[in-house]
Parts: sequence; structure tokens; C-alpha cells
Amino acid sequence: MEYFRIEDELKYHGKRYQLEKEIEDMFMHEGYTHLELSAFENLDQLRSLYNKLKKEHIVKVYGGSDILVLRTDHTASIIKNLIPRWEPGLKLKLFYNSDVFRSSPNGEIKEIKQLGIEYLGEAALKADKEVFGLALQILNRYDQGFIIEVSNSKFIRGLIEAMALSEEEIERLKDLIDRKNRFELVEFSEGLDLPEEIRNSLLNLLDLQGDLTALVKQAEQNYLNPTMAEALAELMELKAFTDKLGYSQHVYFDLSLLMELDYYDGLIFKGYYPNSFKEIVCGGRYDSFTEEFGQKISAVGFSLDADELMEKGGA
Amino acid sequence: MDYLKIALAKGRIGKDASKLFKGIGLCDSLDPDSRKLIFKDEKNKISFTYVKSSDVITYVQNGVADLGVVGKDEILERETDLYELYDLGFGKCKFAIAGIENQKLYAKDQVLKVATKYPKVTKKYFAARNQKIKVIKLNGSVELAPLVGLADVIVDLVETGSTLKANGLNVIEEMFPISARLICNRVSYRFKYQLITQLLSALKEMEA
Repeated sequence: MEYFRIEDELKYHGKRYQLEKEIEDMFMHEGYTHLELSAFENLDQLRSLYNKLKKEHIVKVYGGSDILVLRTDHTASIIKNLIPRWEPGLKLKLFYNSDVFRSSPNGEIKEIKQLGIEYLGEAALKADKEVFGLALQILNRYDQGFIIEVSNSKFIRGLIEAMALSEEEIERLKDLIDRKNRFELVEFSEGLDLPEEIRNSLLNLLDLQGDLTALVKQAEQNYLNPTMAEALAELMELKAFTDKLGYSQHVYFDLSLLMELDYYDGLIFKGYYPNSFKEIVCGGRYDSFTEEFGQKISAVGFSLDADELMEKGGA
Repeated sequence: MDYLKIALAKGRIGKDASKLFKGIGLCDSLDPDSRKLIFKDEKNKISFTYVKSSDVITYVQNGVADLGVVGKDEILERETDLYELYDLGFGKCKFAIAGIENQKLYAKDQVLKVATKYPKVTKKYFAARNQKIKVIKLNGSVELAPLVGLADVIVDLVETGSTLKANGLNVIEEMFPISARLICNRVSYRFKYQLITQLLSALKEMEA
């Protein structure tokens, strides 16, 4: 067989560098500033995040008496550094381009290159639109067959809050929703002591995808609390914005959408390319995560999987 | 338009699945006993592939198949990032703990030695019950383990229990039921949403 030669490898790296430059230029053009981050995190400082991640996915490093971990997530690093010394009235637009590390069950360490932005301190809706718009623009630039899934995490949060469940029950419930496992969801809900209207709303959740207007009507026929209604209203607003941009055929609403990292509170989205089987982009709003570091600041962002984009994005 | 690609686990689940899909009018040529591994239904734009049951998840996870039919046991034993869209209702059996009839469970006091093909399922089940165990992973003939003194008990799939009985073992505790599931790649689900929901409603109608 013919093996990959140095020349080929360099060519590949050259192309990838060019792609990264293009995206960074787009970020800078929109007023985002580059931020360099440390590759190490202190395990204790990000306890709340690492509790949500599966322990076996974290790459641990032992330095002196501290247990350090290799950065698993850019957003968490940024928030941990900036929020404790936040100045009132500050508005920041930041971007990063570096690696995160994940350990797989067989002990292999994966190095994942991510490019992404964070928009901090700006009025929520304005920032949501800008960040979501930029994600659409980048996806569209490298493959016009892209699809983006959108939801607002307040919908599921509102529903779960109405159910008064234990931590374990919530975790199990979210896992079933995340796997669209209707059969076991029905089974599980029968074991919970839920009012009829809330159970119906829960079982209806997996059907809430597709055309937003129809889906809102459907959701309104079932149990709805103010948090859930707020989620729907925010999504309607976002839809009006994406319709105006002309991206409506790329945007799929799915209210049962959940994210791997559970710190989002508000808009959430995942973007895909045909023939790629990884998320190219994922992001959302995470104000309540900033609160864990001292103050609640408006915060929204996304990250791109640079390797997958390079591979599948026809660049 | 693209084909909807479905991976089926070889063996009994694959046979039941072929009956089911033929029953809703798909892919007449589907034949689980044939040496052929790929079957295409040109009219409905669906293709079926027979693969080893432990590979179905790999196929679906990597997107070479959009959907897969596989036992819940495989899903529980693997780390997966998939949708579980439907319980197909066949391939029913149970995970159970089994041991030698009328014998004291523990060879030594504290740690229970458990032989199984399913270390992940086993560890999780016993950990939730605060029982210390030592898992011995086997790839087949798990029933032998207690007989030859390799383990105190076994954790395995039990359907009728006749294999256990033939080897002088019986079920000590039923763990949970298992059946065949329709799994789906997350990205395929979005790009082929229409086709997949059509298939799901056909399956539901069939059941009703």
C-alpha cells in the first residue's frame, strides 16, 4: 500500500491552517478578540462542571498535591477566569482556537481542536441572534446542505421543575429524553407520581419537533408553566430572525434536544453536515453557569469542531 | 434520493426483523439464511445489511447505517450515543443471576465471583446493591464457570432457562427484561427525518 507522505501531510496542515484563518478572520471581522487559555484546570475549581461530565471522560494529570485535569471545555475555562473579576457594564466578544482533551473508555486520549466564540454581558436576545447568525453563516459557507437543530433548554427545565423529582430520577429522565427512548420514557413515567397533565406534557415532548408554529400550538394544548412559555416565546423570536436571514429551511426545532454539557439555560443548538456523523457546531446560552462563579452575566457562545469541518466541509 | 440504510443483527433477532420488515411491505428479497449480506429494496429506497450483533451499534454510530436492529443487551453493554426509537417487541429475554442449585453462594465471604459476557451491565447492577464482586469476563459457555469453580455465579441472558437447567443451574435473581430495539444515528435522524418517521408509523400500525 501507499503510505501518507510528509508532503501530503504538510499539504493537509496547510489547508487546515487556511480554514482556521478564514474562520478566525470572520470572528475578528465581527469584533471578537482572541483569548489564549491554559491547557490545565484545577479539578476542584470546576467541580460542578466535572460532576456533569462522565468521570471517565476527564483526562487527569497529577501535579504536586493538586489533581489537575486537561481542559475538557473552553467555555468553562473562560467563565472561571473572567467572571470572578467581572466589571459591571462590561461587554466582551471573545474567540478561542485550541484543543480540548477527552478520555475514551478504552483509555485512549482524544485531542479535539475547537474554534469558538463567547459573547458576554450583552442583552440576551441581541447576543443570541448575533451568535446564532454567525453559526449559520459559517456552516453555510462550507456546505450549504447543513442542518441546525435548535431548542431552548428552559422548556425541559420548566417541565422537570414541575415534577419534583430526585437527582437520580432527573438524570434518568434526561437520559431517556436524550435518547428519544419513548418506550422506556412511558414506562419510567408510570413509576413516578405525576399529575396527569404533567405526564401528558412529558410524553408529548418527543413529538415537539418540526415546524415551530405548529409545535408551539401543540405544546400549548398541554401543561405549560411560565418558564416553558418563556422558552417558546424566545424561540418564536429567533425563528422570525432566521426567517428574515433566509435560513429557515436549514433550521429544525426540536424541544426534546439536550446537550452533552448540562450548563445551558436558554437557546441551545447543534449543527450538522450531510455525510458527517459528528456535531460540527454546538452552542447556546449559559447565564446560570456564570452564576456558579459569583455573578449572573448574560453569556452565549458556540464551538466548532475544526477537524470535522475540515474533513466534511468541502473547503 | 438517498437510501435508508438499516443494519440487522445476525441470528434470531435478524430473522424476526426480516419477518417484521417484510410484513410492512419492505424488501421481499430479504433472506436472513442467505450468504448474501446486503439486500436492497429499490422501490422503497431501503437497504438492509446483516452484521454480527455486536457490530450493529458500530455501524449505526459511524453512520454507515442510519438505523439498526439490535438487542437491548448490546446497548446496555456499550457506551453509545444513539437514539433508541422503538421497542420492537421480539427477542424477549431477561438478564438474570444464576448459580448451582442448592449451593451456598459464596465460596469465600466478602467478594462474589461473577462470570459473564456482560461486565458493564454486571458491575453496574451489583454496584447499585453495594455488593463487592470480581468480574470474570467470558466470551461463551458462561454456564460452565460455576461448574468448574471459575465463579460463584453467572450473569447472563436467560430465555427459557433450559440451558441453565441442563447444566444444573437455576436463576437466583431476575435482573431486568430485554428486547430488540430500533436504534438510530443522531445525524441521520435529522437528515432523514421524514423517511424514519414514516417507517416508525408503519411499524406502529403493524403492531396495532
